[in-house]
Amino acid sequence: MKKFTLFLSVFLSLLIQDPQLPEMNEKDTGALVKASYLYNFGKYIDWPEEEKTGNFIISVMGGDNLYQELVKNYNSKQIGLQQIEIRKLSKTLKISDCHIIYVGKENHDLLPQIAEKFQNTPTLIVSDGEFTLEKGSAIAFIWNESNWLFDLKTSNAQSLYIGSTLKSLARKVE
Amino acid sequence: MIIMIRYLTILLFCFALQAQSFAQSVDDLVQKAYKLQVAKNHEEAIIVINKALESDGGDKNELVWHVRGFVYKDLFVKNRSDEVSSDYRSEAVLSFLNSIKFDKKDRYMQQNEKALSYLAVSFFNDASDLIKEHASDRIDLAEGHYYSYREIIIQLNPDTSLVKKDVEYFLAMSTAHRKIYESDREKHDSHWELSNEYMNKVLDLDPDSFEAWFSKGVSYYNRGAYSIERLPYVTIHDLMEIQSESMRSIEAALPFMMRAYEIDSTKIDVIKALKVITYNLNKEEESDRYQQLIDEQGADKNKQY
Repeated sequence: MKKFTLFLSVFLSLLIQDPQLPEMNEKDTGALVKASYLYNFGKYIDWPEEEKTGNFIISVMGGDNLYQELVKNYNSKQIGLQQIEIRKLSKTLKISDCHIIYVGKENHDLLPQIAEKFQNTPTLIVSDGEFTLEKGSAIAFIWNESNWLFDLKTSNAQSLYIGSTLKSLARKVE
Repeated sequence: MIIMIRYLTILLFCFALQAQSFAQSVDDLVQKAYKLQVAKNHEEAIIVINKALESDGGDKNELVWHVRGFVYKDLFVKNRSDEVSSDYRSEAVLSFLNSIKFDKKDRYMQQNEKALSYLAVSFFNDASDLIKEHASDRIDLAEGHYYSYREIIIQLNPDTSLVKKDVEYFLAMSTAHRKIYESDREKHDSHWELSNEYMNKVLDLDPDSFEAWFSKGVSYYNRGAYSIERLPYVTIHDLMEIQSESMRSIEAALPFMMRAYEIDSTKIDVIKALKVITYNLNKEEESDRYQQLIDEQGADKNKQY
């Protein structure tokens, strides 16, 4: 076969399209997962009758991304007949009554006092890390085999009824 | 002007043929086909030139193939927007390649090469247009066009290295399939797999392709991240299932992105990607380390300006 070189440079200079690197869909997946868990805790835990009126309040101390996700996806939605209200808390012990309070790791030092404040009240305290159950959390998010799971300490939520579904899905129940 | 020269060349050779030992019938038929072609009676020209091809010695006659190539090429151009044009183009390519094969004295070399060049570029442009369309029902057609373009180049010059071109094509196809997938992730889920298959083809040819490793990393990470967006309002059982599936995909992204980083650790995009992936895998210390590298790169850039 004869060799043709005249048009080879033309052939090879053709360009299909400009190379384009794909863009990352930057997400805090942990915040998304935890927000969904908090919403589900609201559905799977039974609060006393007197707490089933007014808004269903979820307070968040620390965990900015989690707060953003809660506001974006769940604010004004409903749990039962109650409208969800998300509240952002600064690092303080002056906390109004709420159904669920999430305490981010930057505020773990306040956990014992928060637990004492809400002792014998129908408020679910949620935090991160197994050790926080000893500091008063009823539910602790645990990173286990690349998934966010949760441990449960029912004695830290004596005013609430935690059903069998949630207990069966917890990694550990105390 | 070029067309005039082409016709003149053919005409002169047709007259020259009369004095030689070619079968008269072949010669007459070529002349007749040529005249029909000039008169733009393409359909008749096809019948006549194919008769010439079937005549004794016609299938080894470089002029018969050459004229046949132009008859089909002109028909292809005339019917460019119709589906049938694809068959005309294939016949034209076959004819010019055969003309080259039997043209021992290179009488038509330049014209054949020009015509094939035109047809090859048309194949390439068709492939390129289909890739840019991002249409799920038409993207597969690009493959045939690209390989036709490729085949012509190889036929003309078997020593040509097309690795770079193939890499470019596979990257473009991967991007097109990714964009189709992203346009509707549920409907076009299979295109995610196809996008990665093309990326693997790139890596077969160029195992150190930064673009391919980086794109695979992003592809797996994004699949996980988008999947987790389904979370609001799902049951706790679904939550755990979706999370598990998403995190598997994000975990799979890490080694691909690490490989891209090994290939080129100066690119800010790969450092940012590693920061995001490690953060989502709860590797906070690693994520902070990549953030530190980003800050340092930013500081270096500020120094330069």
